[in-house]
Amino acid sequence: MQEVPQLHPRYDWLDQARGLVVILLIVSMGTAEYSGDMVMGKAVLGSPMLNHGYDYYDGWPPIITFIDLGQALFVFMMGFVGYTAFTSRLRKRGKLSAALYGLRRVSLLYALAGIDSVLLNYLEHGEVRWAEFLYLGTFSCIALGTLAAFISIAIIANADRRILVAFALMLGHALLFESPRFDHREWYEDVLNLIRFPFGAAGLCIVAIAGTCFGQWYYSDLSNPTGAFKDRIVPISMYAMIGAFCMDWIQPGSHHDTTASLQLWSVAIGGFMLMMFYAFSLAGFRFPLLSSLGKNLLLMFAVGGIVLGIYMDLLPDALLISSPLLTLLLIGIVPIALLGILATILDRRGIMVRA
Amino acid sequence: MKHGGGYWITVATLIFVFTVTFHFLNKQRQAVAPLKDEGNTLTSVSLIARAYAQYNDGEWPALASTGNPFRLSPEVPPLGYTISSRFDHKTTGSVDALLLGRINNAKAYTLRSMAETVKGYFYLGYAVSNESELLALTVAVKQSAAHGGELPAPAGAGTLGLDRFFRLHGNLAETMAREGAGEKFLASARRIPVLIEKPKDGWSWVYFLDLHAERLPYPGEFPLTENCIKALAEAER
Repeated sequence: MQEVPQLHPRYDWLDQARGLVVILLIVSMGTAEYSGDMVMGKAVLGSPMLNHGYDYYDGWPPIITFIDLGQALFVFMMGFVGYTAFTSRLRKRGKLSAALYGLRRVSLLYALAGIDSVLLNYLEHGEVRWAEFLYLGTFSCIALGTLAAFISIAIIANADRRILVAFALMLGHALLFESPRFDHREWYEDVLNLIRFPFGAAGLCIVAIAGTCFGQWYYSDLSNPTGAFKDRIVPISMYAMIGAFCMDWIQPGSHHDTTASLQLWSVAIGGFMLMMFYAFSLAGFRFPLLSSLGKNLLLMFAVGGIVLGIYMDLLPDALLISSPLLTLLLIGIVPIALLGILATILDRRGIMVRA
Repeated sequence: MKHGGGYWITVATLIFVFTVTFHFLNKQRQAVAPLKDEGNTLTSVSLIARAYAQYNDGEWPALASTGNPFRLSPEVPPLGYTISSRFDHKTTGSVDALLLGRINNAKAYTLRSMAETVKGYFYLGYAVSNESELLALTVAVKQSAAHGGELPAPAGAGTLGLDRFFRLHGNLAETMAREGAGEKFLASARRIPVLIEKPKDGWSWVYFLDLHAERLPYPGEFPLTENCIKALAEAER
């Protein structure tokens, strides 16, 4: 990781949108840790709506909550900002610089995947989870999504065509998922010895490609950003939401397999979230904490994943169960506050850790 | 958004092709759903034997000494049940067992014994790797009064060509290595059957010692040869 000079302008409203995604991820780390066991009566701490649905029921069709969109929203935002990061280098420093940037970013994400899936798993469980490292883990999925985003930008320069390709890929994903030849995540599929296909990683790659289109629409005419929202971002988000609604009936959203409906929900919610924060900025309204968190998105995610796990292991369950107010404070507020303080310090010192 | 007619024709074509293809794939998926259920029933039955092995140092259940020897006894603890309908205090029918708790806002669900289900499967109890070994096993079982330990076999007709039939065991690899049949075991480990579904409609599910299940054609290769199934069925009578 290194600090690099700015190749393109930063937008505070965009950092705020990224900051919200970071908060969703931090919240999910806490709620997942304290999912309890509803059937056995083991206390569930925190709001189920703010946890992954599979922590309560892991089967088909899956229970999906807003938190289940977090990973896909993260990848969508990576695609959005990745567009300008990649094309700025392409324009100002040439193809080699852009390619090296892409390679560096993907390598860093895979390095994080290595620490998470290979090193930590080996130290904790005595085993190396190669599939998780290559295509199943969160970091590897983000790495593959980033790679897909950059490749799609290089191959299809026109965002209007690229979004069409993204939607076509979503339909292709849905067809492969519907085919009885491929294995879904649920254990009761395994008995048929079906072909394994990385549905989750593929779905996130498609979301990342869609994110690059939104980025291109916004950055292509900075003299008229409202026009980009009016002509592209909001209508496409609306179409995505209609598509998500229809797909959800015939192939429900799945967090792990990132089915087409979840992809479409992510694109729709991601687009509306961009619009919302842009509108906030026009109204002169901002949350400073979200800005700071959003500026160091990846660092917050990585630090949160490692440090918060250790922090929560130190908390006595009995104490949390005895008081919802303490749960709110120690699980709901303190993790956000800790990362918020770190993000604010980095922000005030002008430090942005990027790949 | 302003796009030419071609753009929207492309979108409409994509959606049309998708809808038609999705419909046919969905029908195919629905068609294989019963197979998945059958395979999962077999996996559930195997869990009874696997749970027994877990509590008995890796040794799988012995063959029944009374009645049909090649049937997994549901009386072997831990008993196997499958979850059934929600318990209703107005129900007059018999209930095998109750699962009590706070389950999906219910106080109790009924449990149904797997005793009837296991009748649909042959359980081998001993390791055999080909048709001649299985046929010899059925004879040996018939001639033996107790089926708790190793069974004597004619020279070279036992497990992996040895002179005895060895019980199914999680550590069978080590035993076979001690008996000098380690390499043979490694070569055939994935094909040592534990449970065989009684064939129907030309197919049968088989559960193997390495804990995987396969749906195979009948008649076909071992253990689904006509001679094997016939011998096991005769033992039942």
